[in-house]
Amino acid sequence: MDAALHQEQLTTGKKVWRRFCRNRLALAGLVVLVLFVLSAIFAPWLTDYDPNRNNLRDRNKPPSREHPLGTDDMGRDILARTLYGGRISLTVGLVAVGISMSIGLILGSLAGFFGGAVDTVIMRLADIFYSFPFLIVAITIAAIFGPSIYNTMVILGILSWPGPARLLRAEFLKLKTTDFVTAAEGIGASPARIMFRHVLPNALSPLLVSATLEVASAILSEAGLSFLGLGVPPPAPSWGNMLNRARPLHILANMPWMWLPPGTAIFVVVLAINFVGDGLRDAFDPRQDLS
Amino acid sequence: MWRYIMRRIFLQGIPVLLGFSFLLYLVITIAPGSPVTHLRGVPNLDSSVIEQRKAQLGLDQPFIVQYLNWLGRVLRFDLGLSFDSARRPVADLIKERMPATITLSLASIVLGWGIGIPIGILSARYQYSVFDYAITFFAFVGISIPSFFFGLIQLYVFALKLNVLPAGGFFMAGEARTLAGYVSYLLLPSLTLGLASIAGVARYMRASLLEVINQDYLRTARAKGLPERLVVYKHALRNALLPILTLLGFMIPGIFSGAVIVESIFAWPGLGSLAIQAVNERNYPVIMGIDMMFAVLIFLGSIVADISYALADPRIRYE
Repeated sequence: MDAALHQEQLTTGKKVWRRFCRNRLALAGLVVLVLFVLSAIFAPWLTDYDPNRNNLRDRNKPPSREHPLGTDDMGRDILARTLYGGRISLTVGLVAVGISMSIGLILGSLAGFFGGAVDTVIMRLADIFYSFPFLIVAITIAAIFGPSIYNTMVILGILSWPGPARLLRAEFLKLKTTDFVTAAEGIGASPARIMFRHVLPNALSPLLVSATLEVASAILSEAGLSFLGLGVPPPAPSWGNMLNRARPLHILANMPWMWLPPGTAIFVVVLAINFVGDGLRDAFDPRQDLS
Repeated sequence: MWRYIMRRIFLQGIPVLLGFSFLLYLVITIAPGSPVTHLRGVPNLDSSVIEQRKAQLGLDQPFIVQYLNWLGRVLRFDLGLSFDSARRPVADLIKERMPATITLSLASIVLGWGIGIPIGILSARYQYSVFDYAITFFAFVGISIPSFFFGLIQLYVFALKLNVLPAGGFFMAGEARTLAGYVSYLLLPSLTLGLASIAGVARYMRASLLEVINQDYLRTARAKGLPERLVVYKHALRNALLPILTLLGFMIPGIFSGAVIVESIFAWPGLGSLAIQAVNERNYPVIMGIDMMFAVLIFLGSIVADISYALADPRIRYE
């Protein structure tokens, strides 16, 4: 019985993976994403430059042999800053989504499982957060608490919990009436066991899709905040604050090597994540059956 | 219908806006530092002056008193006075900046719907054609490219290299306000802000049309010999456009939020640039005023979307 169950799960996973691979854009997105993650992790091996070391003799240099992507107005190597910036931008995106998913997971499960007053309170709170003009509130809080990496992660995470909470609540309401949950209740399983053992695993696939797409928007939001000078503060490199530094019109007009690499990096990573998210959604969709 | 609208406003809108204002005020005031912090750096300034200034701005009172004072004034349609030295009414500041932001947002909504709907329809009609794939890919690009990067690219190409459009701003002093002038100043910012909407609307339009295109009543229309053009544009499109109406309500928050960044790139004199200035100065009344303004606009947008949905689709009844 147990072995059969295990085998069944394995084939489901395989099916999803096979469906995912059929989507060429999703697969390409995954490859690009993996490359970006690897280049962020192995940044110190890919470049010899310290992303934060100023070199006043080599300021504003166009791409050359020593500096493949040129240098910025402080003489810092743009390639190094883009690679290390990826570390920060990807980390902020992942941690922010980790925070919003954790809050959303807990509150959404509680609301969906217990219903009643708990549900009302949590969902009204979600309504309030949903009515926030997101970026404007993020800017307000970031400016008032002062720009820092940690503040950026926490602000983006706390502001985006209602999405996953609503999703999970809906899944809970749907699954609560299924036979296997009734059966578990019948044999006397505790609420916690039903929640974590029976319902949650079945609600994970839509949550995974939404988490993937949330990472893309968190990276965009971080870049937006940093672009306005309210996200990751210099000298630490992030793709957004590199763009911020290149905003003066003379840099924009004459030194495109300073802003093209970080801008392209954000664009390509977000595009890749969106392709992966879209592919995952299709792959998890049972209507897309593959024989 | 009226009952539904009233219920939305009084049971949902007002509590949500109250909750929002309370949370925002709380977060703003518990944050370290205050609007008078910069005075501490001034040499030879007696600390009594700082205390006096604090009392003048009402900052010496506990949070809840400050909040209730603010709320009491707002209920009488008074947003208070700005904290900066000119101490102008916040409502006046907002009124000055509002038209520019509304113009920019409307222009990008018009672009988003005006371009997104036709390409979405064509994409669905010629499903799986090269054009369809190109539009699908473009839609992904449109939602993935950060507005500030797209804005910088456009500035670089059109304003700095080709020199055909202004590099931001909105009518210099004494400049004649011609239609061509409006277009030239609006084009880049509204395209930057509207790109995501074009992409989003095109995607939804395509999906929505594909959903109805295979339904029975369309098969009937085809069976009685209607030309495909009429089937699509007369019978299918009407139903397919309905979900797009609700999309407007969902997209309004994104458009206003996006406006903040776009205004900053193109030096557009709207609420967004006022907001950034206000948060940097910790100008509480202005921050609260602008944030509430946006929250109200977003709420109204969602109601308008619901109502237009009900008006357009007789199957929908709100009771």
